[in-house]
Amino acid sequence: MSCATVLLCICGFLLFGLATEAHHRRRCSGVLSARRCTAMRAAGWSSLVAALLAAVIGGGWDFGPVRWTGAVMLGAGAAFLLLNFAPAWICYKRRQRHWED
Amino acid sequence: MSKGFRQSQGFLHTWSGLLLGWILFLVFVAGTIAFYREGLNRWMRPELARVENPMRVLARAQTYLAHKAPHAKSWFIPVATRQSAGSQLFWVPQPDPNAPKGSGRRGGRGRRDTQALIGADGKVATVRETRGGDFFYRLHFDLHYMPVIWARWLVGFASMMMLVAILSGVVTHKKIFRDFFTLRRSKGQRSWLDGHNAVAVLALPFHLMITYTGLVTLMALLMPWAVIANYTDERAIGAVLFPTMPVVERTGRAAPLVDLRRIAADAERRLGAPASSIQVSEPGDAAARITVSQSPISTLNTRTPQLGYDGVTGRLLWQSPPTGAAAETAGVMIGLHAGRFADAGLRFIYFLCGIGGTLMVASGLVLWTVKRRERLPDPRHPHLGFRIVERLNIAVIAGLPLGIAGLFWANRLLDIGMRNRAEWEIHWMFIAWAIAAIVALLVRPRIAWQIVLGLAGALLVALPGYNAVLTPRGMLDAVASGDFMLAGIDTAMFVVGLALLLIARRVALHRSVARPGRRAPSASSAHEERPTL
Repeated sequence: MSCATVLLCICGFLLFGLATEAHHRRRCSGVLSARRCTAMRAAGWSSLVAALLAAVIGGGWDFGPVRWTGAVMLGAGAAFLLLNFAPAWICYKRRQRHWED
Repeated sequence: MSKGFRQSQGFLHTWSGLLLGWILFLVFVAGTIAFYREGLNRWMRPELARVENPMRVLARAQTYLAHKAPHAKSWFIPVATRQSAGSQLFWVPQPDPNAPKGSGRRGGRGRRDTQALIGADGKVATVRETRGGDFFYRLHFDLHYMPVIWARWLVGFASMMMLVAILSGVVTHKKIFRDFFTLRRSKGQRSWLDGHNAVAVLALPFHLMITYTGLVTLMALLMPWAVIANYTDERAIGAVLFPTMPVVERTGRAAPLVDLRRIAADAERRLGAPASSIQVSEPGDAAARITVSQSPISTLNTRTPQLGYDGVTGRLLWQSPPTGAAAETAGVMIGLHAGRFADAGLRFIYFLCGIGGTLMVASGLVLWTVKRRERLPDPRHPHLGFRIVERLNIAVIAGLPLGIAGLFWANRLLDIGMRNRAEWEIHWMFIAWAIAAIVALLVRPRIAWQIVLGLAGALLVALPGYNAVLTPRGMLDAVASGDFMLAGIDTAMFVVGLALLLIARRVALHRSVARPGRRAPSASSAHEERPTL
């Protein structure tokens, strides 16, 4: 399993997740504008594509896509757990208290 | 129009999932465990040391067979690896011309006298009689206590329903992709639905792949017409799909067999991959032939190439012809399904996805009751159908883990010299499972969930402790010797046991705290958009 593939997939899905209204409000500062949402999703897709390239370079065209699919599922799972279960202080907000009350 | 379509898909999803859900649960659990079949083969034989030098085991296997069965019809020697439980070899004696037809087949009682397990030190290992992880592999598609053909039809039908449930599920819960990152905790039905969706979508590529390729493994049984239409003789299709080296008549002239290590090394050089098994026909005869199969860890295709050698000179005589596109496709699909090629990391992902599938089936089954409980006219006396589903859920979802824990404990505790020990291990699994079913029938559901889950969890959590104290291969010893497979299996049992205990505790707390105030919030949430499950 190539580490780069997995890390890129986790990054990709974290970006997808943070591009949703609820998670963005919880963990990012600023408003989720339509433009920012598009940009984050584009970045997410790019990192998934980069992950595929990394997997194919590491494992060739027969094992690469299989490993990539595995890494995509792992990345999605890790992002899901991080976004829903990571403690609230892991966030990019500067003043989170102010926002929560 | 689209509403109607979604609702009809919802109906399909509910009922295709419910009716075969309990079988699917068993299939998922057994299949998930079977990804660690080799590891469990070793875990369930704690007497065996890990193989450090496979070629030495091979040489000793040849010495043993030459002494024990010099005139056998054929020998079959799996090439040991660092992950395998020694080398479980067997031989087929020369057919007795006087014996009645059909009695010469492998299996049954005769099998035990024509096999041996060569351990890491090259000696015949005396280990407890067990089917090890192979049991879960067979349970996955052959079930148990029933004719294999019926079991495969049943599992095949369940897989088809699974495919229906997955596809209709994607339509029914159409918001799963948008709501993917959302998990609303402690919200009753919504939380169950979110959890069900999360495990389903997370591993959706896996679920689709495993169900579809699972059907491919059974395709010759489920849809035999293409074969029937094109081949009149069963042996002809066998020869096309699984080509073998031409058979040679025994000459009767004795000739020493070449060193199998040399053949294995040559084959591995030519194949560019490890060898998985060596078959010798007519050993000790001038017409001896050796077939070496390539290990499936090096390729996606399970139908790996073979090489045939002259058993006396060691000359390469035959190479299996390249298979056709259809056979190759089927081989790759079966390879994807079984994941034999997977290295440690990918295998773990397979395992996690399998757990995801298990949770998906289990949460779907529970969701059926959660959804209907709120709408029951009288929650104290639910109708018969509801009660059947509720009790069956406990008997299967909580009962199967208890049965498996029972199997593992039987593996450790049954007398080593017991007759039919391997079968009794399996009987104990079903005895423990039956006890769980009885509890599920007799005790109130909330209490039954706690008893069965708690017992299964406690048994699994205690196993690594037993191993550490009373076997030479406990967690600490395994880590110290770098044997992370055994350490990982112990850890997995502990973690799964702990999870079961936590769920049991959650059920207990849920009853005392959330029950009285439960109807109010659920009534208000009923006006929100209700998922059309």
